[in-house]
Amino acid sequence: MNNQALLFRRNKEAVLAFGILLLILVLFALNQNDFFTRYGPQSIFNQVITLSIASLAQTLTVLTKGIDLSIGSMIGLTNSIAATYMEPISQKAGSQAAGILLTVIIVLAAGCLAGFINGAIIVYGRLQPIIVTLATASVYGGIALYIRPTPGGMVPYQYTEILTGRIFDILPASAVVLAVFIFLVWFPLRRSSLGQSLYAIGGNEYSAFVSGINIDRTKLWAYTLSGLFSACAGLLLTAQTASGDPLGSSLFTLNSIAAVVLGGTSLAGGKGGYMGAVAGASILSLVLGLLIFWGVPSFYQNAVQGVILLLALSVGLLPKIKIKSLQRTG
Amino acid sequence: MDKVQEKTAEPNAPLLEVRNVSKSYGGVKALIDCDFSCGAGEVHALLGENGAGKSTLVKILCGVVKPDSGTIRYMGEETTIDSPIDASRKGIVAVFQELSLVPELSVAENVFLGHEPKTRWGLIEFKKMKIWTDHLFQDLGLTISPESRVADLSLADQQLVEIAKALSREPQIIIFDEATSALGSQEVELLFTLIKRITKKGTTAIFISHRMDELDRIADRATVFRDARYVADFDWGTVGKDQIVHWIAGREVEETFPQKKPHSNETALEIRNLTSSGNFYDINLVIKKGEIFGIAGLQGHGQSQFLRSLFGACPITEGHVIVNNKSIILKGPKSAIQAGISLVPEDRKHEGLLLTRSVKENLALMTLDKRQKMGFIDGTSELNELHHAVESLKIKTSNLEQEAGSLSGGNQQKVVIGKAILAEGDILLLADPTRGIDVGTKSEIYQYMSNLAAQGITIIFYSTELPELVGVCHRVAVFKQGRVTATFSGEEITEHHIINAALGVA
Amino acid sequence: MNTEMVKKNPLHSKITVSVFHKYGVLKIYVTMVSIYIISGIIQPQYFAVDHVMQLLVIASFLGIAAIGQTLVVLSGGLDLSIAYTLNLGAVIMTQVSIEHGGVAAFAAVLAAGIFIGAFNGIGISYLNISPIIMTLAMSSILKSITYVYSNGNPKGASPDWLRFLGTGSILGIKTAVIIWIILSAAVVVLLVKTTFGRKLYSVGTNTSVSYLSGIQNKRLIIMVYILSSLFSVVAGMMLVGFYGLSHLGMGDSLLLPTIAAVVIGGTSILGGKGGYAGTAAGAIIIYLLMSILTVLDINDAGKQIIYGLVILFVLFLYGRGKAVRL
Repeated sequence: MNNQALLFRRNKEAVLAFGILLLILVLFALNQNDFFTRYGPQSIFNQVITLSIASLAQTLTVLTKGIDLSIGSMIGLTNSIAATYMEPISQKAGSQAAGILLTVIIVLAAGCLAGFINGAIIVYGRLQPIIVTLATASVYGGIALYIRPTPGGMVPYQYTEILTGRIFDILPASAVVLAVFIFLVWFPLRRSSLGQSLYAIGGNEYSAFVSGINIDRTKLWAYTLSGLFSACAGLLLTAQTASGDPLGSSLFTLNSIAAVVLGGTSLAGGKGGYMGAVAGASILSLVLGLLIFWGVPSFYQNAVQGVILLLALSVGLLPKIKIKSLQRTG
Repeated sequence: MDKVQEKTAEPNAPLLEVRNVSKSYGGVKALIDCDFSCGAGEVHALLGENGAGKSTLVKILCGVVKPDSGTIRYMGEETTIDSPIDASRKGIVAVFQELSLVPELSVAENVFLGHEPKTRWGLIEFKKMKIWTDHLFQDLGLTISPESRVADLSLADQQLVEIAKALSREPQIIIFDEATSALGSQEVELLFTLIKRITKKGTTAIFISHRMDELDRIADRATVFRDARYVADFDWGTVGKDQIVHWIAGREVEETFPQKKPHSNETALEIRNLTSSGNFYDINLVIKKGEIFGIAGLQGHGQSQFLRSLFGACPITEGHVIVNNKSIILKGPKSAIQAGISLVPEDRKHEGLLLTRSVKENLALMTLDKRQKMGFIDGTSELNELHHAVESLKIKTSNLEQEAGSLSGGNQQKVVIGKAILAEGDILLLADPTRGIDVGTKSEIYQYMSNLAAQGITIIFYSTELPELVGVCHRVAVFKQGRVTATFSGEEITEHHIINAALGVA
Repeated sequence: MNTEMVKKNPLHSKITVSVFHKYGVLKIYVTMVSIYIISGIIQPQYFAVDHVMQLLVIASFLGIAAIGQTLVVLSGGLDLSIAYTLNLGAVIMTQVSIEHGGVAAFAAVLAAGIFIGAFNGIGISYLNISPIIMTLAMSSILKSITYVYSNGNPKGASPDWLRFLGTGSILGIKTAVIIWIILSAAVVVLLVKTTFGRKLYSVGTNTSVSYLSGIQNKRLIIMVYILSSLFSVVAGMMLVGFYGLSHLGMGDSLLLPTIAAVVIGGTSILGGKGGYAGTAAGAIIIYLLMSILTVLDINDAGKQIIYGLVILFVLFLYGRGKAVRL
C-alpha cells in the first residue's frame, strides 16, 4: 500500500474532522459579513483557541489510555487566580508588564502543581485516572471557589489585548498562540522520547515496560503537562472574558474529551494525535457561532453538538462494523 | 537429588552466574534457591514443566521482577538488574512468549522502542530509524516493511519483529522464551540460522522450548528446573531423553496416552464444502460419534479458525455444517451451544477464563440459560452439578468460590474444559488444550478425553504437538494453507506422515 | 476431598456472604456508621430518628439513580447521561400529567427511559462508540430536548399519588425510603441470583470470554443501559413527588455523586467487580458528609474540597490496583 493511502486510512477520523471543519468554515464565510476582513480570522481563532489548548491537555492523558476529568476545574482555578491577582500583583510590582508576567508564571506553576498532584496520585496510588481526576476536580473547583467566591475580578486591558488582539494589526494573536502550540509544543513533543512513550504506554503498557520505558515517569509527565496546558487555557480564557469564573469552565472537561475523540484519538489509548483534536475543538466551538448566525435558539446548541459528535463517530466506524460483523467477535 | 556437573566446554569463568536466587509472589514460591550459569557463545536450554520457575528466572534476568534473595554475577562482577532498561544496558534482552510489541506503532518504532536514534535536540529521527530497521531486516533476511503497523502483521511476523527488536540492541545475552511457538517451520529455520550466527560471535542464547526436536538441533547445554528448584545441568547430548524427562517430571513417565477405544459408526457431524474466505477453504469431513478427530498442520494454516467457525465465532462464507442429520445455522456461539457444540478456546487467559471471578461462576457460564428458572439461578442444583464436574476433572480448588486466576495453569485449563463439558453437547471442540500445561495434567486430560469419547461424545482435537495427536486420535486431518491435504487413520497416524503432509512433501 | 470442603461451607450460595464478604462491603458499612457517629457527636440531634429518616429520604434519590450507574459500571461502562435522563423524566411526568393524567405520564416516563437507554446501548454495542462519549453526546441531546419540550419553563405538578410516594410515610417510615429499599433488594437479587447478574459480571470482566461462552454481549449491554435509564427516570419521578414539581437542571447535581457513590461503594470502575450494597452505603456516606459540613458551617468551597478529598481517601483505603511490577 502506498504511503498516502496508509496515512489516510490510519487517520480517517481526523481527516473526516477536518472535512467537517472545512464545511463549517464555508458556512461561516457565507454567513459572516466581515469574514474576509481582518476581523474574520480574529474572531474565528478567538472562538476556538481555548478549547483547542484544553484539548491538547486532554490528548496527552488520553494517549496513555487515561483521562483527565479535572481539566475544567484546573481551567477554572487558573482563571480565578489570574483574574483575582493580576491587578494586585501589578500594583505591588509597580509595573503592569511585570505584574502580568509574574501572574502568568504563578498561574502556570499552579497548573503544573495541580497536574502533578493528579499524576502522583494516579501513579503512586495506583488508582484509576477517571476517579482520581473526578475527585481532584472537586478539590480544585473548591479552591477556585475559595479564591473567587463570585465571578468577576479585574484584568488589565493590555493583557486582553495581547492574547485576543492582532499582531501588526493583521495577524490574530490567538492564531499565533495556536501555531506555537502546534509547531513548537506538539510536534517536538511527538518526536521526543516522551511522545513516543505516551503512545507506547497507551498501546500496551506491559510491552512498554519490558521495552525499558519508564511508565511512572511518563504518566507523571502526561498529567503534569495536562495541568500546565490547562493553565494555558485558563490564561487564554481570562483574556477572552476579562474576568474570572470559578465554576463557569466545567464544560471544558467534557468538551475537551469530545474534541479529542472527534479528532480520531481513541479513548482506548495509543492512537491519534493533537491535529485531529484541534479540528474537533474547532468544530465544537464554531458550530455554536453558526447557530447564532442562523438565529437558532440557544436551546438547540447542545443537541447539535451531541448529534455532530455521534454522526462523526458513526461514520468513522462504519467500515469497522462491516469487518466486525463478519468476524462476529464481541 | 541427582546432580550432573559435567565439565563445561568453556574453561573460563561463566558469563552469567546466578546463585541461590529465590522469588515468591504473595505466598507462592516461584523460585527457591536456584542456581544457573551460562558461558559466552553457548545456546543454553532451560527445561521444566510450566510453573517450574523458568519464566521467573527469565524475568529476573531481564529486570522485570526483582529476586527476593540471591546473587547475580555477570561478566565476572556481582551486580543487580534493576529494571528492563538496566538489563538492556547490560546487554541482556529477551524475546517474550507474550509479545512485547505495541500494536499501534510501526515496525520501526517498535524495534527501536526505548532506544530511539535522536538528534542533538533530543528529537527522534524517524527517517534514520526506518533506514536502520531496513538494514537490520536485510541483514536478518526479513521481508517485513519497517513502516507497517504491527497490528496489521501476522502473528509469525510479529514474533520475527520481536526477535529483530531484541537483536537491534546488540545483546550479550538473548533469551528466547518460547519464541518459536508462533512460528512456522520456515521461520524456525531462519531463527536457528540467526541464533547460530550470533552465538558464533560470542553472544549467548538462552532458549526455552517444550519441543525436544528443536533443542536437539541447537542446544549446547541445558539446565532443568522442577517445582521452583534447580535440578540439574548438563551438556546437551550427554544425557538420554529418558533421564531428562525424569528430571523434568520427577517420576518415571510411562506411556501417558490411554488406550484408543473403538467408536460407533454413526455419523455425528458432517461438514460440507465449508469455507471461510481468508481462513480455510472447501473442507469436507464426516466425523463419527465417539470419535476423537485430530486437526494437525503447521501453525496458522486455518486450523484455529476452522474450530472457531464450527462454534459460530468465525464467519462461514460457504458450505454446511450438519449435526445429527440436521443442517445447522451458526449465528454465534450461542446457537452453536444450542446445537450441542462447545469450544475450549486456544487462549485460556483471554478467551477461556474470567480470571477475577470464582471457579463456580466460570464453570457455570456456558450453561446459565439451561439451568435458569424464570431467569433465576437454581443455586442448589448448580452446586451439585459443579461439584460433579470438579470431581470428575479432579480440579484442585479449595472451594468453588476461589478466584479462577489463583489456580495453577493446569487447573485453570481444567475449569475451561469443565465449563464446555457442562454444556452437555455431543460435540466438543478442543483448541490446543494442553499448551503450556505440565505433563501430569496433560495425561489427565488425555484420559478424560478418552472417557468422554467412550460416552459417545465426538471430539475435534486441534493440537500443535504431534505426539499427542498420534497418541489419542482415531483420525487426523492435516491442514495446509487452509485446506485439508491429507487424512490419516489407524496405523497411518505417525509423526512422520503428519509432518510430511504439513510441509507438503509427498 | 475438595468437594467435602465445599460441602462443609454451604454458605456460599447465600446472598449475605457473597455480598458482604467478597468485596469488603463490610468496610464500607463500618465507614458509614463511623461517619454517622461522628456526625452525632458534633450535632447530638443527628442521633434522632427523624433526622436519620430525613437523611435517608435525601439519599434515596441519589441511591436510586446510582442503581443504574452501578449496573453500567459493572458492565465495564459509564453512564454520563443520568442527570439529563432524570431531568427529562421529571419534566415529562409533570407536563404530561396536566392533560393526560398521572398514569399516562408514568407510562410516558418509562417509555422515554427505555428509549433513551436503548439508544445509548445500541450506540455502544453495535456502533462501538465508547460509553463515555455515547452517553456524553446523549446527555447534550437530552439537555436540548428537555429545554425545547418545556420551553425553558416546565409546567404542571406532581400527581397526588406520586406526592405521597415522595413525601408520605407508612408506619412511620417514609415511602421514598421504602421504595429505595424495595428497589435495592430487587437489584441485589438481580445481581446475585439471576442469570442476568452472572452475565453482567462476565461481560464486565472479559467480553471475549463472555462471547465465547455463548453470552450475547450486545443484547446484554443494551439491557444494562435501558435499566440505567429506567432507574434514572424513576429517581426523577421520585424527586417530582418530593418537590411537587419539576424544574430544569433537577438532576445536575446528581451525576457525579452517582459515580462517586459507586466508587465509594467499592465497585471497580473497570467493571466486573462490586455490587449494589456498597453503592447504597456510598450514597448515604455522601449525604452524611454533606450534612456534617453544613453543621460545621463550612462554605461551598470547603465542601467541594472536602468532598473530593474524602473520595480520594476512600480510594486509598481499598481502590488500589496491583503493581505492574511484582
